Amino acid sequence: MKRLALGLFVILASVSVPRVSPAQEPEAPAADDTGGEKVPAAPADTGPTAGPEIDLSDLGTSEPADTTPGKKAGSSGGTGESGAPRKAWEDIVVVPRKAFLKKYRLELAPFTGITLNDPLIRHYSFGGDLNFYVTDVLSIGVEGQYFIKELSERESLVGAQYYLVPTLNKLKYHYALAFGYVPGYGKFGLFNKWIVHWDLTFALGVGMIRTEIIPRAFGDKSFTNDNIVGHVGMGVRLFVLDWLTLGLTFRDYMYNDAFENAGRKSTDTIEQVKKDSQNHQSQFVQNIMMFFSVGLYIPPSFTYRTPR
Amino acid sequence: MMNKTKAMRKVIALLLGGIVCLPAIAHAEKERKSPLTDAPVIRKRLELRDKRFEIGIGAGVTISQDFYNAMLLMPKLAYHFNDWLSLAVVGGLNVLPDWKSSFNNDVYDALNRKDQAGAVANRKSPSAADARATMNHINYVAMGQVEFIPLSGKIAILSSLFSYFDFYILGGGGIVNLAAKSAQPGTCQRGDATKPICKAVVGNQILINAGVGAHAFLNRWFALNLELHDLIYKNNASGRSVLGNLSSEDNQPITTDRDMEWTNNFVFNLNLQFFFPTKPKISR
Repeated sequence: MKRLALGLFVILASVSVPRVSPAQEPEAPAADDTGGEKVPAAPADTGPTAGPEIDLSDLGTSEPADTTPGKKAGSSGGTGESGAPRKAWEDIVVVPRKAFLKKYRLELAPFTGITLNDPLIRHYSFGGDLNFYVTDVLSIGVEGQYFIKELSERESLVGAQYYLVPTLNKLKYHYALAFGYVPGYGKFGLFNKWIVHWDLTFALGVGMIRTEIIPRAFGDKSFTNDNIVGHVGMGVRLFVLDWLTLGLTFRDYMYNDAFENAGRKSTDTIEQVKKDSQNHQSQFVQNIMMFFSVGLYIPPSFTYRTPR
Repeated sequence: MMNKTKAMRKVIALLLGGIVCLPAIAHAEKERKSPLTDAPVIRKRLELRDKRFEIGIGAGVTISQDFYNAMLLMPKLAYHFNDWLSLAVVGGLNVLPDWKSSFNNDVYDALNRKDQAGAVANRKSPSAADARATMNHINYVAMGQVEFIPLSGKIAILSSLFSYFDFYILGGGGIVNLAAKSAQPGTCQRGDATKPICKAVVGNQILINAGVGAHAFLNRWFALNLELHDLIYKNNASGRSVLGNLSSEDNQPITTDRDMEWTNNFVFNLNLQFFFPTKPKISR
């Protein structure tokens, strides 16, 4: 009979335990000393406890998140300022870390681009960047691209409307040494459901661009120019995975180019035409281009060096 | 017999225990969900747009126009129905109507050299002055746009300056007013007035407005507003024949409204925008 009583006691105890558990304090996420693990989809507080904002974090009328030690999250049975019942997640403060580290990583970024500022001729570009990040915000690298030209409708109308033939050069290829700087990084909520991290990039470079004249008269020979080119750029980069980014960049390529000499005669040799063009038909050119790129990072993962 | 009874009692006790425990265990599993379930991805977020008016002014510049660039003075008024949807009206007055593109200058210079070399009457190409007279430019634009704001967040500049921002896409419609030095110079006219040699496109045209934009908040009631518009409207910027139809009268081109075609005209603008009421709401 004693055994029966003991058995019933165990049964009653086992029934009551699970009903007590939910009232206990929820287990906090395990502390991560190495920081290599990510907390999936943790909500971010943007209130005063979330970051050192200077301009906007002084919320004034807002109720700061209560982080008083010893105060249990289980007190979520209370009510908020508005009188609505408080939810458990409102008592948990989460400050996500920087989502992506670049220091000592190599970025291989194939890209495609298009020229924006010439109404007569458009160039499509295919190429890539190879950058090494010396710090998380500074990089040094090389870039190269090959161009394919397309004459615009306006170019074809110049002849029909004005009986003129435009003097144009096409771009052949370009390579450069480039320096990158990341002055800012941020995050945004997509429909307040997902957090996407991104950064702002600046670029400065110097290199060489090869151009070729498009002769005004059909059948005339053309010549090429190798010009020193400098560029400045600005863009944004979205972090998709630990090793994958998407980028949108604008760059302004500036150089001096020689166009086909206006006084070219059919009897002139191409060497003479080139010399005359360089002497009389040189012009400072700015090519503003827009690029889409995909960044692949090596090594494909990274480790946080500071504790969470 | 006694042992059998004890064994039976044990089995009954275990069965009873199992029946009572199972629902309780299942219930416990159900309640052991993450405390972050149902939490929004960002908490205590400043709802910088919800139920607020936005008013401001800025400057816009056209990109890659054929003959005349435009510098637009652009006032903007918007109302945000919530944090992700707003309705705005935007104006643009061209304050530099004589801002010629380099292509305009190239055409003019080339024709001018021809003008100086010989009589205009004996050639097919127009005089430099006539060519420029029918090239049109934007006079003003007036448009409405719906703005959909799916992305909002904050950015750290140089790890010390923090700013809230948002990105949005916009779409709408409106009118563009086009002007030219001379709608139809004398040399463009011929006997049949319905078939001129050249004719500038002037007056109002309906436009489609599409683009993207961003706000960068410097405080809770003031933001920089960047927008890139594609203004799509029918135009013939040169005022000269595009289709290449020739008149049987003199074998010269005919320019009519049929020579107009849909064109993409990009405008980039930077505005200074003020938000009212000045205090935004804060989400839970």
